[in-house]
Amino acid sequence: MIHLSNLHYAYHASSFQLDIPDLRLTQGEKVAIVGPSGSGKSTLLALISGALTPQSGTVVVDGTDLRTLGEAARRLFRASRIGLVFQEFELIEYLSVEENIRLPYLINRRLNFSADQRTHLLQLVKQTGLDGKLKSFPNQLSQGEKQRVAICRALITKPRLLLADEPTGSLDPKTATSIMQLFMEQVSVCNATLLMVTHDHGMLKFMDRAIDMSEMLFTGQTLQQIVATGEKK
Amino acid sequence: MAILLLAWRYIRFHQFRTAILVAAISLTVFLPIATRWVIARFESQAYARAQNTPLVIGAKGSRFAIAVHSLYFRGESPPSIKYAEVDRIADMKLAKVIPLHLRFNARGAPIVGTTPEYFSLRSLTLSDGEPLSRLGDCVVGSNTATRLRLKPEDRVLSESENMFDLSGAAPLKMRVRGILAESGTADDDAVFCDIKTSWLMEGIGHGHAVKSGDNADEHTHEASRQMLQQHQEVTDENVGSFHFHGRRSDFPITAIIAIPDSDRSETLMLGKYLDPDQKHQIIRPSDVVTELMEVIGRVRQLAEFGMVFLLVATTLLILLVLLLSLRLRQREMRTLFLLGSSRGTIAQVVLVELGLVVALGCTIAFASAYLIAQFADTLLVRLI
Repeated sequence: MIHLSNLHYAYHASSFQLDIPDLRLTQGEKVAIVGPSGSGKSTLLALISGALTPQSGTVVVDGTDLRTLGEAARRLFRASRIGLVFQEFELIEYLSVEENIRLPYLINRRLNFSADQRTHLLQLVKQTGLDGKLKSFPNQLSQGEKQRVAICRALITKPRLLLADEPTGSLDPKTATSIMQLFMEQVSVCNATLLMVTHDHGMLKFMDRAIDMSEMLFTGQTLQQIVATGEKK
Repeated sequence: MAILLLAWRYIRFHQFRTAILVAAISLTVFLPIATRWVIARFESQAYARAQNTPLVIGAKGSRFAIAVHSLYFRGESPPSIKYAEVDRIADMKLAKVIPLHLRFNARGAPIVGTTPEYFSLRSLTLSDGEPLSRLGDCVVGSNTATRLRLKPEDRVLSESENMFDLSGAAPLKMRVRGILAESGTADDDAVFCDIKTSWLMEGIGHGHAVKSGDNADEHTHEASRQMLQQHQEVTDENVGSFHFHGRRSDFPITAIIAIPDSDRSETLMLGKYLDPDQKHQIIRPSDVVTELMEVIGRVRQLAEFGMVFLLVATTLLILLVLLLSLRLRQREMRTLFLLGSSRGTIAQVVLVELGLVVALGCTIAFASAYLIAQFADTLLVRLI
């Protein structure tokens, strides 16, 4: 599903560099990325989503080498194949819940919001308990509801890959767990690959494996080992 | 469509900010547009009325005052001239003459004493009631009729020239005979009566009570009796007793409208008033309006110069708001970009938002300016 090889990325205005010799994720796999702030977790997500372009190396997502795509094609690829979930939800304050979920279709002329998509939207809304909130605005929602809207927005295009950047980072522990359960259910229904950045080791129990971006970068350390390390800390 | 939807949702969500921007744009656009339209409309109406009034004769003094007085029935009444001047011009056989006598008001509306020819000159028709038929009648302009809620057979009282002058004539209670159809001119705001009726208000004429017996005590002087009632009224019963003292040629009028038979007659008439010893002056209202418009034009230029600064200030304000708004919306724009929107689409959304605000502001400005321009005639005349 995802294959990164000999990837090198460096920011112009900083000394930070990210080098990934080889990383593979299979379809349907749920992988956590852990590591301290500044270790390159979000940069890795941006490279895989095509929002950033590496200086060297290849990023292949769902059989497509992102380097071969022009900017417009890369945007369309991101909009149609990749779902994004952010820590701060990043809902558009002036759009209703329904319009926020439909947003990928509103801002991409090449994506058509057909009757099927409408049905899919209503299913998602029902499954996430947002029915009755379609006309509400983000400022009328709780934190948990906002993240559910963000999850629906990420899933509306039936993506093959989901990239989540600390999706429970702004939620209290109880809400975080229930949102995570809901998220994992939806990911399983879509059979999507999930790559999730998290600082919360409690969330690792939902994942198949984890990658530590600092000390144990790509050493093949198992999820159990990382969990154990986190518990020791 | 989606871009329009996003832009509309944004400006609707930020109603307060949008309202301030729309108000700033509206005012900036409204002021120069309204000024231009009001002046243009006033100019065309003023010229039309002036051209419909070829010559005006009045007492020597301010030309503007006589023109404004005879065309718009506003401003201080110029000094009176004698009715003899009407006869003198008529004897020249060069022009039709229409006397005007304007010294009184009826609840804020100017009372114009004139002859039936005035109604023909201005093509005034009645929308209700009958034309003037006897002494003490009046017909009312449409605006005044609406404002004072007058209809035929109502009564309207003239305002005393000076309420503290006990020797002055008592106010005249006039019978409303008809209501004039709207003409869109100063005539809509006036009350018209026969010139003789206006002389009653001057106290030149009066009536006597009808004799009903041999008792000399009943031969009450009608004017004296009516003075005690603090107004006089002409009725079908007492109309025959009204009469004027003195020679008609000495009776006052405030202006004479003259309609020459030909250009030659006009030139000859103008020549008759060239003598510096003449007590009267003749003016061509269209010339006065031209001079007036030149003055208004210069004031407008000054105003427009000031408005340029206002325009620059508003543009800078809008730019500042836009830049601050873009800074505040960086996260939103990054989200749109990450969700697959192009930078061009994001720019389009912002531009459409700005376009909608500008369009809304301009629409309000143009609509307001249009409405104001409809009342240009009244507005500017009141300022004169």
